[in-house]
Amino acid sequence: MCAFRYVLGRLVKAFLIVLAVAILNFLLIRVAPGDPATVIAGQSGDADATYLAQLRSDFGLDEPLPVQLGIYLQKLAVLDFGMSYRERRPVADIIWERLPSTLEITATAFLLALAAGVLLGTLAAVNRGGVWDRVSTAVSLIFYATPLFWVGLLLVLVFSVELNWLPAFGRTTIGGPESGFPALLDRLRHLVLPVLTLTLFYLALYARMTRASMVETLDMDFIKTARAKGVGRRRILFVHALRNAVLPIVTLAGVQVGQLLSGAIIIETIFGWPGLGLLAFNAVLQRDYNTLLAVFFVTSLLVVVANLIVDGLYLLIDPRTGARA
Amino acid sequence: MRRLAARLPRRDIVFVASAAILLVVVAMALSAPLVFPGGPWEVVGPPMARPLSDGFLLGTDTIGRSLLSGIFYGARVSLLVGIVATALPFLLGMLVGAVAGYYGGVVDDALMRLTELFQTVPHFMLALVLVAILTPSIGSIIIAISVVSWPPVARLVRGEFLTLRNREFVEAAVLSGRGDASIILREILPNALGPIVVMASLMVATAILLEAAISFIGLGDPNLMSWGYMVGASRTVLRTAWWVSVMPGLAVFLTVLAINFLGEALNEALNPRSALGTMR
Repeated sequence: MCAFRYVLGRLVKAFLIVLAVAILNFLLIRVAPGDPATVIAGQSGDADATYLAQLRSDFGLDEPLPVQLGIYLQKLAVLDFGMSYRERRPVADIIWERLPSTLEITATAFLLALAAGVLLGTLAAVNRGGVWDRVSTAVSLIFYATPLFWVGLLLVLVFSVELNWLPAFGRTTIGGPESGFPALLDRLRHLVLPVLTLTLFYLALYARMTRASMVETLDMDFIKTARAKGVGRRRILFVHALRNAVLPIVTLAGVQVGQLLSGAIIIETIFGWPGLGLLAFNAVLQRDYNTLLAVFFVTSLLVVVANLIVDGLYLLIDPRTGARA
Repeated sequence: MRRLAARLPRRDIVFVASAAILLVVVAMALSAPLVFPGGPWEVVGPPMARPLSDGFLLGTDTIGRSLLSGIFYGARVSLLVGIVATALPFLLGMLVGAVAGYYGGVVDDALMRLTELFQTVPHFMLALVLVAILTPSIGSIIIAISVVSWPPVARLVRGEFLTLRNREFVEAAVLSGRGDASIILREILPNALGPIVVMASLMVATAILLEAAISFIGLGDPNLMSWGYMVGASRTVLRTAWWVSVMPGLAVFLTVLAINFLGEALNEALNPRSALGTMR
């Protein structure tokens, strides 16, 4: 019962946030330079008059603002982001087409960063003041301070320009193998540099968070009890301590999904990766506010979904969750 | 203040190096118009001259502008954004957090939902949307960074206020009939300042990184030379002239690294027990 109320509460909250983002989007269209019809057309200036007139009636732009908002929300509810004037097809279609590419690099980088970060942070917490601790702190501070775009360019310089080991552009080789193992290998080779760039940055975050959380947990009484009972060192670390230390890490992971998707903009721009980030970059260059706002809405939606997953994980990891809510 | 200075690790090599780097950046920012009176856009040599050639310490960019000059002028933008785009969200976050934590109840609920909204949306994405819509300029960049970075301050301040609000000295002030503003500003805020100050140093670093990324994408102020812009504009020639994008990136990296190390030292001096726990 409590768990049910907890889940329901989270769903309502998620819905309200999505609604708020939608209203924010609506307001931003009004703030953008030019009249809303040209903004929605994704063209500052040279969209043709009949198209603009059609948009005006579609979006009820001659109606009072609350009516406009209602129409806009109705359209967003079915993920109708209007047409891309430039590509002459619905923005939603382009977004669906691009989404898998972005999820591919962000999800891979996320899992790698989480695994490596937790491992590094745990090693640091166990050997406080030791070699691993110093390595972990140094790695964290360095990568936390490095601009993402700069790491990406340096990796391209080393592994692509100097060593010529890995491709630095696109998702596949144009005119390369199309099926079977060679095609898979080609895909994987393209994945390495963008994913590595994104991973290095987030690894720093998770390593620091894990270290702090583990240090705190290892000082707790139940760990001393376990040790006194003669529980094995490894079991204490990975079963007793990590299970408790993992909560703030899970929270951070949820919060960081937005940052991860933001990072994808930079990464996709550098590596010519055909995802939502590159779409956003091109929309910025062409002042295509409509596409830009659509990407903003979809990425916000992804963050909300990720946070719901985190809430669900809490329910699994920490049995107190439902009772507390 | 003097006690704080005594606790800083003045013999630590990393601390000294960080302080030195930051001083150099400040000196570059202040002296840019004196050292390079022609400004950062002036073409002064052949395009893509190598570092240490023809009297160019760091070489020239794709159309023959001095990279060193660009880095001097870029320091102005980075520091300006670092300071202003920390101060603004800092004040905003403090205001929201103080009001929410002091009054509690419905006010707290409403303000915290708003804070959550701004914490949920992807920051860099929202910043890009804002700069693009407000048209790129140093002002719109500062506004965009401020809009995305106040929520953590608000949450931290709210937490401090929630615990301090029920302490005896605050209750005494309330009973003595003093106004809310006076109690918030003169009683609670000074006691909540420690952890907030540490957060500010991290915000400076984040603001500089955000500005660099925004300019890298091509939404920098078109009238001001910025490190991020320098990297972004030259990344297409990475294969032939690596230094044009590596040098300004190095400037961002060293500056942010120095600020992070100084922030860490400040953290250890102010909150010795919670060191290493603040970085989020």
